[in-house]
Amino acid sequence: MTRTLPDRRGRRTRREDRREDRRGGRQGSALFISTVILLVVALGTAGAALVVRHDTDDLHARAEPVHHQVRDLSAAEADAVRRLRLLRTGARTTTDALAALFAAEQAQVDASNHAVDIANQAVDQYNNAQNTDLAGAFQAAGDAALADLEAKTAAVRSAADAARTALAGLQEAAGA
Amino acid sequence: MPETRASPVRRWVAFGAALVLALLGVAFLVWSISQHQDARDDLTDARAHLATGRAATSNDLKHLRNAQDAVASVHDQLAALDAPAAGATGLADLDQKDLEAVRAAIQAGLAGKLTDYNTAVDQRTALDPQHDTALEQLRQQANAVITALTTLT
Repeated sequence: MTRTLPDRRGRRTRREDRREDRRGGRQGSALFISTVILLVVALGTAGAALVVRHDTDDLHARAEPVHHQVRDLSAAEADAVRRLRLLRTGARTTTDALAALFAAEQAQVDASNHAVDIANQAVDQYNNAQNTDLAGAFQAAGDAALADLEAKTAAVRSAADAARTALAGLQEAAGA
Repeated sequence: MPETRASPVRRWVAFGAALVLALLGVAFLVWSISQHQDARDDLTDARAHLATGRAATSNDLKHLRNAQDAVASVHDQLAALDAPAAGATGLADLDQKDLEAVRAAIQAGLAGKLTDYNTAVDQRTALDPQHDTALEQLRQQANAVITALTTLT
């Protein structure tokens, strides 16, 4: 009876298998450790992000009242600017209206004096020359002087009304 | 044998999932930090705006108060100018009376009616002091108002 020796190739395969098993084991351990590390990183970053977000919410909460104050200030500023503009416009209108009133008044006084001059001349001529036909000599001048005086008096009335309107507007703007 | 083959696959899948989770976590953190930075910038800007706004509003309110004070300082003059019986309207009424007296004088003068003429002239002459007084008062009040208001314009 002959004995057979074990196949050398078979022995080599088992050794390689064991080697492969060891290699596979090391690789598996590395993979496991990497996975654990990655999970720790994932959890850590998520936790850190949550902390950051909480801090961000705090910042938003602190910024909101500041934004509110800025809006209030902007509204107050706009209101002050509007009222100041109204006052300045009212002041300018009032100043112009008063200047126009005095100009109209001066024109009325001049027109009145001129008309009185015409009347004086007419009466003087009547007294000196006993001219009974005064109407013919002075009617045109008298009519023109009177028409001018009427226009100037009406202008004073209009200027007075405009001045009163401007004064009322100014007082309203000052009180608003 | 199937268990030993499935195990590495499961490990790789777990590794992949952990990798994805880690990447997501990092991305989430970066995004959160970016938002935090934005919020901090926003707060800083808002505080800067508030400081600027306070200064500007304070200036505007000061100008407004000055303008109101200027108008208030001539309140009596404004009321006198605006008074219906006196003031601008009173002067216009006096001018109207002056016109009527002058018209009567001219008509009487042209008609040669000396009595009527003298009456009309007397009426006008009687108006003169009243007219001059009213005009002078109005001028003083208007000058005070114009001087006060010039600072506004």
